[in-house]
Amino acid sequence: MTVLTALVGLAGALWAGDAPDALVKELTGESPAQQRTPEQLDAAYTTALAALLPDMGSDDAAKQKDPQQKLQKMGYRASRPDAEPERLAFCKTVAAKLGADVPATARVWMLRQLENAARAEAVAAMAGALADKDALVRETARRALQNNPTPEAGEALRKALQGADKAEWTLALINALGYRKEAADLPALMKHAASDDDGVRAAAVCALASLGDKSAADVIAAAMGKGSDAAKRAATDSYLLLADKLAAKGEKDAALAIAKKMLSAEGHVKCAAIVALGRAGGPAELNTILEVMNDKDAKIRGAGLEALNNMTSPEVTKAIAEKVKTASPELKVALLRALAVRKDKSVLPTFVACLEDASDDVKVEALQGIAGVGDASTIPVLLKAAAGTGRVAEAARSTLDRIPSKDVDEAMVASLGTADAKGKAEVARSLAARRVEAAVPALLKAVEDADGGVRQEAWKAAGQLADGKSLPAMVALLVKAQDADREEAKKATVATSRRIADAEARAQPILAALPDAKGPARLTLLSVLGGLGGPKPVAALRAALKDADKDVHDATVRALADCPDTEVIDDLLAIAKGEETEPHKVLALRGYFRLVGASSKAPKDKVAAIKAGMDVAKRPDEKKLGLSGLAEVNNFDGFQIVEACLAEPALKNEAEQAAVKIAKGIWNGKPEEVRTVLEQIIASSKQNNVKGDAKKILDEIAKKKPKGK
Amino acid sequence: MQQGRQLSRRQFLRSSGSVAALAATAAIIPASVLGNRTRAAASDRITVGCIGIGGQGSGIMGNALGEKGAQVIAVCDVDSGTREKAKARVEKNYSDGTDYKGCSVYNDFRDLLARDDLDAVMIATPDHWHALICCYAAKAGKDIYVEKPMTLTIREAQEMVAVVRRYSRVLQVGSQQRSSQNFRFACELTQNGYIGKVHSVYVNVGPPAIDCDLPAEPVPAGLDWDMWLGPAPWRPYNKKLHPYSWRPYRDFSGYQMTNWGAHHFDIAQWGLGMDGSGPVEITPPDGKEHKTLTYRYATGARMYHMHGDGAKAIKVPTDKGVSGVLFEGDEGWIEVNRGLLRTHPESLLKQQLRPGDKRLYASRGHSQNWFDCIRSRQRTICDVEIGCSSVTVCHLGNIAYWLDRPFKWDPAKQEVVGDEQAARLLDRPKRAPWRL
Repeated sequence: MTVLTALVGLAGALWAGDAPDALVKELTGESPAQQRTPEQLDAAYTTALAALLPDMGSDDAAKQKDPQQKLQKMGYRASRPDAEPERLAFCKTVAAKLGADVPATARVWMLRQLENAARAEAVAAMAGALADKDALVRETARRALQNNPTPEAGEALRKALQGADKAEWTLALINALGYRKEAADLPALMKHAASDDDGVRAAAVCALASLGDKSAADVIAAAMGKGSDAAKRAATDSYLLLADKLAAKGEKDAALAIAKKMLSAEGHVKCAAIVALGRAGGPAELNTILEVMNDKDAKIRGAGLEALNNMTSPEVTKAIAEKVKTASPELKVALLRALAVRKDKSVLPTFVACLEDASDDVKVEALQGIAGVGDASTIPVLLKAAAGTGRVAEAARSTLDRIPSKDVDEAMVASLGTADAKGKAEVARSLAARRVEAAVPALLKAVEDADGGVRQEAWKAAGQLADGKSLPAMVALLVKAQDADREEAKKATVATSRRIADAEARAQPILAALPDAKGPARLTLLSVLGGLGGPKPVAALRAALKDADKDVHDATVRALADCPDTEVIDDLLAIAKGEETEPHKVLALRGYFRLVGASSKAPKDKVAAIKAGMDVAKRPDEKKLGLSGLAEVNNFDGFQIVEACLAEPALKNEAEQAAVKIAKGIWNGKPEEVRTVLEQIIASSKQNNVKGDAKKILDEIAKKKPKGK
Repeated sequence: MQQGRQLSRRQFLRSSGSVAALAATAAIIPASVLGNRTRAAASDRITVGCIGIGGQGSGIMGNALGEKGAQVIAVCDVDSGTREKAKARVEKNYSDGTDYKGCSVYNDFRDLLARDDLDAVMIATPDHWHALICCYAAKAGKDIYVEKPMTLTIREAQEMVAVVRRYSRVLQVGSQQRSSQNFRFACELTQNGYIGKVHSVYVNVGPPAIDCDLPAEPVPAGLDWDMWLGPAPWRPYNKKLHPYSWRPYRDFSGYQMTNWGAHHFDIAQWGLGMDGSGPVEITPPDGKEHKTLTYRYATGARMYHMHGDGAKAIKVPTDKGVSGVLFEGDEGWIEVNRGLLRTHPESLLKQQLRPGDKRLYASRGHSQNWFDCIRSRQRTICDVEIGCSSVTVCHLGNIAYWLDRPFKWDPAKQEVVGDEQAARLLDRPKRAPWRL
């Protein structure tokens, strides 16, 4: 049978496709895999590895790379699930080449592949490498065994540890055992935990702790008093680690004993003891934890909080809530945080009671707790808190806006009719923040409240929440609005109107109200129409512009100046040119330049329109608006208009900025003209950033200039 | 957009009492007790040590130097030139103070950590050192800021969680996008269902780590090369490794999968509500069904690594590809990156959160959040457990790329399912004498 197998293997090795390069391709997955027996696999990997080894062992890093990568790829591929024969063949083949006849560089790389792929089949070879002359080979073999999941690897490491005579190597081997966490290591580690060498002892107690065996507790505890400060600290950490491991294994009593012992420590060790106490002792240690949390040190309180957060039973929640009553402000804050994360409605009264605390820190923490578990019953206290100032009021507002539940929405709407003035205003604000669209009828009622603050908040909220259906009612209320409320009423009506997609429907309620509206109401409606735009509103505004009433005319000019509709561009220019007051001319020109800038006019037409406006403008402020508009248009005509303004002292700065901005977009077409202007700017400008930008453009122009010119 | 109701720095300091008290008593208490005009009194200050102070370490040290309630008193680096430069910078920063006793320098972080007068450390070494120094620091009672990615391996991240919790320390990972309002808002919209059920997440970060093949070069004077390597396998020095360009090499880093991944995969996890959890299957690109590395979550969501040629074949809902992270749900999408927030429908940009909507942790700035939490003892916005689950996603991707095969992951047990070699790549034994 053996002879037959060998013959089959040999036959496999003689296949035409088994040339070394072809095998490497196949075994790295770059070409289709052949069906092979285990013996054929051995032969294939042996041939492939033989092909890779010469360059892998080279002293030249560049030569090493390709075979290294191929070997790694082979190892990854061979180790895929359900391909055990391939993994076995790969690892056996590689392990067989760890002898001293292979260059160390190659052996190190091969050991690194075995670190991730090998199991028991390679342990003997890797264990042999632990005694290699080359330190790098030894260390790499140690890591490869460390990461090997088989008991054989652990046995090899323990054997090596027995023979280790240098502290550095002993420590390294102990680290490997500690990483593997095998119960069989216990005796060897116990022995080294008594070492006189600080490093070895620290490594051993750490490895012991990782095992989570309570029999190691005394040995580790003894190490806490031995050697350098660093060694003592390492042992202390190991002791605490042991408590963690024991608690996780369910050996709570042993863990608790360690935690209690360390509770008398200071600083971070005490913190760790508190956390361990919570993990090991649970609710039974609650009082101890609450007691230590009285500490002035925030870090100790933080550790207590960490411990409390690990205890989630209702009894603990109840006990924490009880403790809040007598705690210091600092401790209250910590306890309220512990309660807040539980989201347990039963502690709502605790949070509410804390709103009466003298400390703002406590109040803010309580408010954050209410945000998680509050209900409609908390609205009055939240409104009271929100009525103040500072961070408590801010927190109260945030909480009002966040408490989930439809009941809260309904209760808030109801309180619009029952709360005091400050409360009503706060409710209106919060209803908008909560997006309670069902509150619109109540808000439209509140816009007629006796208190101005309530009315204005109600208008603001209605403007955010109302839809088109509410528009007629809003317009009716706007007509009746008091002077102080008109601005908010107007904004709310415009915002609501804009939510209606159809332009005609959007304006209809306002246009319908306009004929009968008198005095300030009429003026406000005109203002609303200006905010909307569209054919009918614009027509109404044009008609109103001819009104003999001075106030109506004034309101109409202002409405047109604010209008978003580019249809009124010519109307505004006419106003600016006409027999108007100076304020009207200014308003009209500002609106004009805004709309020209926003229009879809062609660049040439846009420039012409801006020029028309600038020709009418008398004050530098409006001319500057024209320059700003020109700066946004890449057009040579505009550039020339700007150039002409460079000589005007009042416009010089803005003209320079505009010229450079336009130049960026047009220099390619008019390099010489642009260059002349930019040189003039560089020579005379006091604006360094503008000069810098101008120089950059000149550099670009220079780069493009044909040679010889 | 929901505006965070955050306290201003001034309000916070007033509430914390320390600075307000200082202002009130400045006329009668000597400056030597109070510190200089802009700094908290010595007893109120958080004393900071900075470990790894080249490159990014220099930047985050600047954060500590600018924090009025903190004082840097020690720096550590294995490059003597870097640490002396840092010492000079720190001492210049405090040169107007009367009570500053100077900045100590260390080559070995263990010596720095042994100081009892240090409250906290900022760690910005190469990645292969992060976990080890963090664990040493927690065991020494220090609060910790650690640069992202949190660790070099998944097991290291799990061990860090255990140690930090054991000592109840405050730890923040430097995945600072969590402290940006845009990213938080994007994740709040996603978590609260404003784009419907999320079925796809596209994450644009660079490639996985590769093996180092750099030739040996002489170690420059002043560099402790053995200490630079620390727990990593020994290899000869090459100037590309120090300073800085160590990142592509897997002995020291997970390259862009963990470098930018610790930002963008972290945000993806946040938006998916997967902090403390993760995907259930990771599949590398196979040129067939999986054009690019794909993570599958138990919710059914798939997360695509938008890197390499295969990513071009992934259909995304935008016309400009993906920048940063893009969440796609059955009712819309959200794309977020630094300086970018796009949504479909666009109206989501103005969406206000409703009562009952989940509000995510809002910080006052990443660095400030760390200092705040050191004082309050609350968990930071990028706490160790969050860092653990986010960096795990990054590392799982690298493992899938290296093995070139899919494998399953149990996010509750934090174990690979059914692939022993993938499981063995969750960690790497450390070079002696180092151990976690």
